[in-house]
Amino acid sequence: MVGEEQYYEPPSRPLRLLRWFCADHFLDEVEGDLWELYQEEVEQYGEARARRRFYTLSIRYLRPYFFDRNHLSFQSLYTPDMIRHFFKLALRQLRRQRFYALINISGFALGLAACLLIGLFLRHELSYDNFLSKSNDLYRITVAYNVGGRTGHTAVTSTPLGPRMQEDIPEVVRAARIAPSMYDAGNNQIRRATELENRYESGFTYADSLFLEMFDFPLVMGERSQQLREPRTMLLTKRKAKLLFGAENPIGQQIIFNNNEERAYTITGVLADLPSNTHFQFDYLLSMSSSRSSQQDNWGFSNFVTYAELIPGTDPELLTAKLVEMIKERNEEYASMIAAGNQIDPILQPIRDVHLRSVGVSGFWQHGNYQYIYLFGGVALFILLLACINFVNLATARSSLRALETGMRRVLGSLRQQLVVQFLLESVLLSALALLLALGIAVVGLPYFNELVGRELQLPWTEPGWYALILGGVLVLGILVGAYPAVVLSGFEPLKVLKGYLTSGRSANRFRSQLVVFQFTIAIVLVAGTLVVREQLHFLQDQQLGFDKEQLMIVEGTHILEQPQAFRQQLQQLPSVHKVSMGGYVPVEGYFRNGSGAWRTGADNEENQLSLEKWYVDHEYVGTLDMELVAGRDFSRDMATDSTGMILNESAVKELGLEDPVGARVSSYTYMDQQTGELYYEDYTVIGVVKDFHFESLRTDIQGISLVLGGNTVNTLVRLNTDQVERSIQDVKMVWAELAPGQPFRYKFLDEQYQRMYAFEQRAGSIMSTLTGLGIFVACLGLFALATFMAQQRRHEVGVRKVLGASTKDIVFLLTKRFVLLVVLAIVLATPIAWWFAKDWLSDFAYRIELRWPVFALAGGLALILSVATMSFQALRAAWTNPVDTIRRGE
Amino acid sequence: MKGTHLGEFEEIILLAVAALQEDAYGLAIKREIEEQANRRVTISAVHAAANRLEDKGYLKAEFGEKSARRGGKRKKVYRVSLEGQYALRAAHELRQRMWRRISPSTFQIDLSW
Repeated sequence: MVGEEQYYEPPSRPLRLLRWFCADHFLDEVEGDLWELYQEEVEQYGEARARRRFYTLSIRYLRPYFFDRNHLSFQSLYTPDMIRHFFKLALRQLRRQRFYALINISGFALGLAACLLIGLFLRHELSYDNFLSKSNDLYRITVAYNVGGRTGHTAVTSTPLGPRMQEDIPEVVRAARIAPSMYDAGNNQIRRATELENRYESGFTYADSLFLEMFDFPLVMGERSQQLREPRTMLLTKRKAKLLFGAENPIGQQIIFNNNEERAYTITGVLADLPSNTHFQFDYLLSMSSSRSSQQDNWGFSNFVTYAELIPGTDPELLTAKLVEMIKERNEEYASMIAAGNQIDPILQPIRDVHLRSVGVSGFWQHGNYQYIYLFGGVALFILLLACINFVNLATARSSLRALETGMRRVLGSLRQQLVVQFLLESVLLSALALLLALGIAVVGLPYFNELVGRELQLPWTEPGWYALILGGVLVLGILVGAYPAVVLSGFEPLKVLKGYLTSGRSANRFRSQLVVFQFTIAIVLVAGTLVVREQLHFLQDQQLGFDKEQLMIVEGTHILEQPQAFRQQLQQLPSVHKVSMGGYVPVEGYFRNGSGAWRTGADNEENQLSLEKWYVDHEYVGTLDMELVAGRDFSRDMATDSTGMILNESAVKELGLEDPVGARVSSYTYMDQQTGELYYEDYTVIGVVKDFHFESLRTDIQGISLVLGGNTVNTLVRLNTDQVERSIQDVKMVWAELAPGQPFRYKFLDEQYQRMYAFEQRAGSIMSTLTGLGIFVACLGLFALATFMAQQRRHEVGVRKVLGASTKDIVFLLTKRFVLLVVLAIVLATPIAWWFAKDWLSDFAYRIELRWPVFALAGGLALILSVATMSFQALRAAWTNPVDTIRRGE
Repeated sequence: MKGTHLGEFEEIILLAVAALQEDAYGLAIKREIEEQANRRVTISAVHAAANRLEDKGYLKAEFGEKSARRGGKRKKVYRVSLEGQYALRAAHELRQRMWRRISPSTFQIDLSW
């Protein structure tokens, strides 16, 4: 091929592809003609275009006719006999290497089981409100505000918002409000009209008549279009119907609330029990028209959650602008507040986002948190990854053992790809066994898991997709973990292997080390994260709240008593009771709250008023809760002027800008005339200031609070002064039974209620702990197997060293040194990563721990100790073996 | 019938090989068809058809010299085998028979060429 002419070199990639798939006997002709054509085309079209054409022309050969049958066809290479042979080999391999197979399978099974269960949980979390047939067009209206520097986001909206939206905005097909906490909503003592014994029930919610047309919760009894129309009609769920009426037909029956026989409700329908994946939480729906104030055009009355159904395809963003215009037009106060520079933005939140994306939105029901979705999903996948790494590490480390087999097979005519298929089959088989075991673990572990996450999940055995997932999972996992070892193993040069030149490659060794570092980095991040979560939870529990939460009993529903004052006095006489206060406001989530406009009397413009919590309490409140007065005095029965006295907390003093609080005058709204809608306010004199106290979750900053005299007898707060709590409960109960025969006695303890505010974090903490434990276990499992193998590999060396005088210590050091270094490297890598994650998580809390180094030192130390302990077992065994045994046998 | 049936493209390939005589390799066949039939033909289609015809026994092939212009690959030069010649003739005769059955009055164009 001596040519004076210069030839153009066609691109090599398509040629390589061609050589791969095209049968050899075509190659001379095809390649040659393509070359020649390329020369012509370069001259004709230029190189760039010719190259492009070369690509497309080569690809055109991708048709069965040109394929290399010997190369690609399954028929000739993989006869049923061959496949059976592979299976037999794989099973034999598993049986012979029982120990390693066990480690691989159990690691995989644990990782897979964690993934299955967490996946089940995530699927449930992500499916909230999906089942509603209009879920794409339903929205919840929330309001984000920044008024006078106070920011917030709430799902609680005003009375007219819903009705006005539907009237004024054409894109809104329907709007419905619910009210889960006013008047007869929330909790009640109820009874059938035919009975006298009351029953305490919760989950009462007012709902507009359109509610059931927007949200198609199935009805078991009753006509859908007739529900929630008339005042004082109600629906209840099937399970409550069973509870109250047994086998009787509940339709048309009457229910009496809190012994108020004049306002009985008539049952018009029975709902199917709510599915677990809806953000709604109710058992009783009361017709909205039963409440007079819900029918008034009063923008100042905010007790509703408003839902809207839009015309399909409406852009919610655009609608928001219309909504703002509508509210401006209808509500002068809103318009003037906006004009004064405040921000109050309505937001349309898709109904399916309510469950997971309501973090920081105040409302009535507890929701999930999408951050934890990512967290748990990520951690479960990481555990599976750890198990995969175990497999790859073991397979490549032990490759030298199988090198002979590989070499022999190649010499006997096996193709490399057949070897790859054989090894892949082994790993797929292994992953299939692991998946079977994982399913077993999942079935057994599901009840515990349900308790852990607080759900009632079930494995979806009836769904075909589930089986597809299992089969697909086995294949994908098997191929994923088998690919690298298969390529390494099948790549040995047969001659070298058979002559015994095999040295386990340096690069494979380094790769293994990297994987071990990676594994332990993950494990240490998990441990450090878990430690931080636990520390933060402890911190929240021990936080100084500004009042004493221990030994404070809350007796609920005391407004049902005919003589509440007698109850109080009798309790006060009990030796175990220190102080008693009555009222609805308790400084823990779940009790009365009352945001009300307040301003310095005369000084401030009404438009710049700030929203201050205004709690109606009695004379004993401050003393019972053991709040600390920093200035002024408590309410006193001897001072008649205290009826217009006010006690502020420090934050409120700051927010109102009072320099000398005691004696200052503050105005605040008191009530609104139901007929005229006019707002009344009162001027108060500040008589005292209490230290700031927490009354919501510590996720939020302390807000300003004002206490004034008044209030009701909904709850009775009892401060006990004894350690004999059980006795005291009995004492209080006896007083109750005497004064309220036949009424259920309900009580709670403030510290327990307080813990409940962090139930979600507690839960997340225990899930994290469990997953972390699993992760560490899987990582150590791999390390254990690797150490076992290494000790076995070096048993001759160990024997010789011992004969030459090495001590046990020397041997252990020799065998563990490398891994210890790897774990130390992992600690160095993991610490900043864990630091960053922990900081991010903590930033959600207004009150949080400082991140300090001992946490990370502890995590790293734990990993180090665990890994050394894991390896020492094998190292010691090697060191204690009689050298004669290993050397003489000389296998 | 089925054994001797020629597809339209196969027939054209055979004819092109016959017409080219000496140097009937893939690229030359492609060029010949493109010139005569005035249609674009991809080289892969020519290769597939020619090799199929070889499998059927209508074409015979020999490898020529390696050349640098071809990236050091040999040419595969085709010629029409005896069976191929019979098949071509059969196809031609079939057409002629059919043509003769067409009465000139049914066609609007001039049939006398």
